[in-house]
Amino acid sequence: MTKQEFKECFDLYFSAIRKYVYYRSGDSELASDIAQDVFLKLWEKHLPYEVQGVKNLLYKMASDSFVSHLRKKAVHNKHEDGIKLRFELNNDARSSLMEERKKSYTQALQYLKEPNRSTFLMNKMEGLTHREIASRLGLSVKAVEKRVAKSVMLLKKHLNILK
Amino acid sequence: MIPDDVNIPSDDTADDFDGLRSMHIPFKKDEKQIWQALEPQLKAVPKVVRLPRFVKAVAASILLAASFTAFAYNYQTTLVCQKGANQEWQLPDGSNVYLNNDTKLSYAPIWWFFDRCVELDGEAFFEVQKGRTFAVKSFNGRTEVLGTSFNVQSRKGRYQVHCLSGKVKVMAQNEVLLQKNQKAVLRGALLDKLDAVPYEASMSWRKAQFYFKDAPLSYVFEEIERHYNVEITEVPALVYSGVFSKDMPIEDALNLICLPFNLKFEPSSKNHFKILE
Repeated sequence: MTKQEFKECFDLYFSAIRKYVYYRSGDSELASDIAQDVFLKLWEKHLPYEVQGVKNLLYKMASDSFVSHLRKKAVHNKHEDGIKLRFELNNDARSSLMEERKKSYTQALQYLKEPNRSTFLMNKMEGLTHREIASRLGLSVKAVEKRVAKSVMLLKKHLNILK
Repeated sequence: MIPDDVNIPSDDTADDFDGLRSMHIPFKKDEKQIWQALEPQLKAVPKVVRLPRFVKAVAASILLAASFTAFAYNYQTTLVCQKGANQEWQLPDGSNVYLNNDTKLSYAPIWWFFDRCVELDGEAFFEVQKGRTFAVKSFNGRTEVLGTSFNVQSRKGRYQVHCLSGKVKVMAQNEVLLQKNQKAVLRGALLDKLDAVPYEASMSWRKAQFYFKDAPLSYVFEEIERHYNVEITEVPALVYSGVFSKDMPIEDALNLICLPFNLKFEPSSKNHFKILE
């Protein structure tokens, strides 16, 4: 992999990897650190550049890195669920209705289990298809569908309760 | 109509969470900053030259062939014939070799099919199967044949090759080509060729006989020593000729040699004899 190819790869996937770790951890600093670390490790592997393989590898490395971080800190339970994610509205979407939604989403998302949460958010925030998520996380399409459906169901339930 | 009591999500929750598309995560550092921090840490890729597969395969097979060759070349069988013993042995191609007493012979049994070569220290009679060159190496010189029978005696200070059939080439500092019944003898540094040498001259040991013709008495007793596994000391410088059987006891053999010279011998200890004038 040349430096150019690496930069290309960084531009394509850094954001997605960082978000993925954030969905799982709810810690933006940690997500940045892990993502940066993963890319450095990828460079040091000196692999031949091949987009599909590198993409899957990045997700795998990020996931492993996050899990080993949890293991080191022994804070598994804290991250398992009940974490509060923070979002900000894009400039062109500012409105009182959206502010309201943002608040309710962040509250409701606390009730999702971690795998459901990350899968759901990859789908809804980044607009990735089920097939794409399945390929990135090494899951079956069916599993992704189930996770998203379950998340939607739970969120709706909690949103109604919150009302 | 939908009944009133059914719990219908209100408008803002009825969406499919599309609102999330217009939100982002507030990271402190944007991608550009991360890249700026990351870039200086990227060390140059060491150039790794990957060989094409067939090159690897060729290299591996060459290595394999080389190691097999090295093994075959260096794998040796050594025959050792003690003092007072004789041994008969068949070489891998069916050639026969008969070892006289106090003789060492080694050869490479696998490499044999590429190069018929034995190393000899002592005396041996060869019956060689027809084929590629058959070589006998020793510290005195080298003997080469194609298919014949011949006797090689290569002991300390003594190198004699007697050709009994076919042709034999003997090499030391000079080369000698022997026909049937010719014999090469190393005198000093050079090989000498003797014609019409009787069969017994070299082959008597195969019939369990001693054969000496104008031999120095020291050599005669060396042969006695080798056959009976004894030591004989204080040998006078005389020349001896005679033929006698190896079957007799050591005392009889010594008597036979000593009598014509008016010499006497006495055992000084076990397996040790002293010659007296």
